[in-house]
Amino acid sequence: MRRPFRYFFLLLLMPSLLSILQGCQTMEAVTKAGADIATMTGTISSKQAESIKKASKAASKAFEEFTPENEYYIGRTIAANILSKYKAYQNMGPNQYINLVGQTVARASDKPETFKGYHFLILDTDEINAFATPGGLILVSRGLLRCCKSEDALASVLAHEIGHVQLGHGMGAIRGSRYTSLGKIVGVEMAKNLGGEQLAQAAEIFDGTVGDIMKTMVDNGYQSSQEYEADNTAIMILKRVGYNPTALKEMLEQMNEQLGSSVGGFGKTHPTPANRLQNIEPLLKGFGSRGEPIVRKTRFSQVMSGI
Amino acid sequence: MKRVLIAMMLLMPVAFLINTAFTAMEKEMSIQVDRAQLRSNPAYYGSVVTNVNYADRVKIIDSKGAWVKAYTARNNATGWIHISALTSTKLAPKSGGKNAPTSVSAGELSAAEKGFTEQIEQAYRQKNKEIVFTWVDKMEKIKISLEQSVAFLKEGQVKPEEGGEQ
Repeated sequence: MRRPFRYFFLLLLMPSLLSILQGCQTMEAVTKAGADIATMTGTISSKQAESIKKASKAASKAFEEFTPENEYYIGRTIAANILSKYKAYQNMGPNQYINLVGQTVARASDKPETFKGYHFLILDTDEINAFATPGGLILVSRGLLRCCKSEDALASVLAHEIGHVQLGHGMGAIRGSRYTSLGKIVGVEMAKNLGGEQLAQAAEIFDGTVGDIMKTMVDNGYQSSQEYEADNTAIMILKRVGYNPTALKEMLEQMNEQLGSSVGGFGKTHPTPANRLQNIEPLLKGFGSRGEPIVRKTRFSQVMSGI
Repeated sequence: MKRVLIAMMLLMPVAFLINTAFTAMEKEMSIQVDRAQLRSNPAYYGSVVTNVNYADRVKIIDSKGAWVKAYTARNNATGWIHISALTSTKLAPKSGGKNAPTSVSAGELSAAEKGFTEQIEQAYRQKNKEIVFTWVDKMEKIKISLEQSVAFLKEGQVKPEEGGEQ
């Protein structure tokens, strides 16, 4: 008599057990979601996915604690600072076009959703340079765009910058103490709007935060390993969208030629194109240069020839 | 046999309660971006079912890779959304926001949520008048819709060779 009773008890609990299991599975999938999608679609190997996951984890605590809204306001101020050093290129044709390419490829990144989306703007300078601010405002110089001889190459440059946003490299430059001190001044009883003294203190911490990122992004550059990660991410994105990933290689070769005459910018803050080429080589196996459809070639040269 | 039947009748509501409790505990998450869409498929090329706003709470029903199937009570609709639009933290709706107020009190807000906001940008701009935001605002206005993206890829004959679409 006792045995059937036991089984019956188990049977009754089955739906509960099932829902717990299901819940766990859902949440597990959600947490490790980021890089997994790429492995699933076969665009990168599981080993590469692991290294991407590790790289994201290595980003500072600030990256985890700040909300996308915070990133957005930090990013806006960084962009405004950069636009005080460089002029914006006011020809809206090329600006619209790089947004068509950039916002389209951003949808295929592991971080397609930012607080107010990805937006791109050309800097009116011959210097070869680009800046990806937290939140997805991305600034690219005319000098760098001149290294792009095709839409695919342009997509590779923009995807590299999207990679920096996705991997949180800008936010990773924030000193850990900033978040801690922010937490101290905005006491638990405070409403969303800060008053006098607290506002002044928070504004000061904001200043410091912006300074941290500017120092890394503009003066020192990211670590070489972060540049390689952004290249790897760019290749993953290009493959997903359907642009030829070897376009990144072609762009780097062009850059190598043009860097000779350029001072500052990429040359100062990035690993050499030769080293970057060596890093991406294994990811390009099986991808040769392929004929570019005439329509794509035409629209690229129509808009970008004057750059 | 009688004992089994009695036990069964006693246990039935208990099992039912446990089950309901777990269903009620189903994971809820918040929208952490200004605006996002729930889509018919777990892909960006899926048609839009409904729009969701910052701080909206959604119930998680299923997941596939980086995509989550979510239900929004406010719009009474279900659809797929990318995980990067979601957070497990409760967020306070923006003042004047379209969504109904949630039960989040000021005390529950994270330091970050209270910290770097529009108010701080205003304070920064007051202090740094030489930093101009004109082109930042202009570039933010360049928006490419999903339909534009799809048409652009189609026109340029850009398509994934190995079915690598998200």
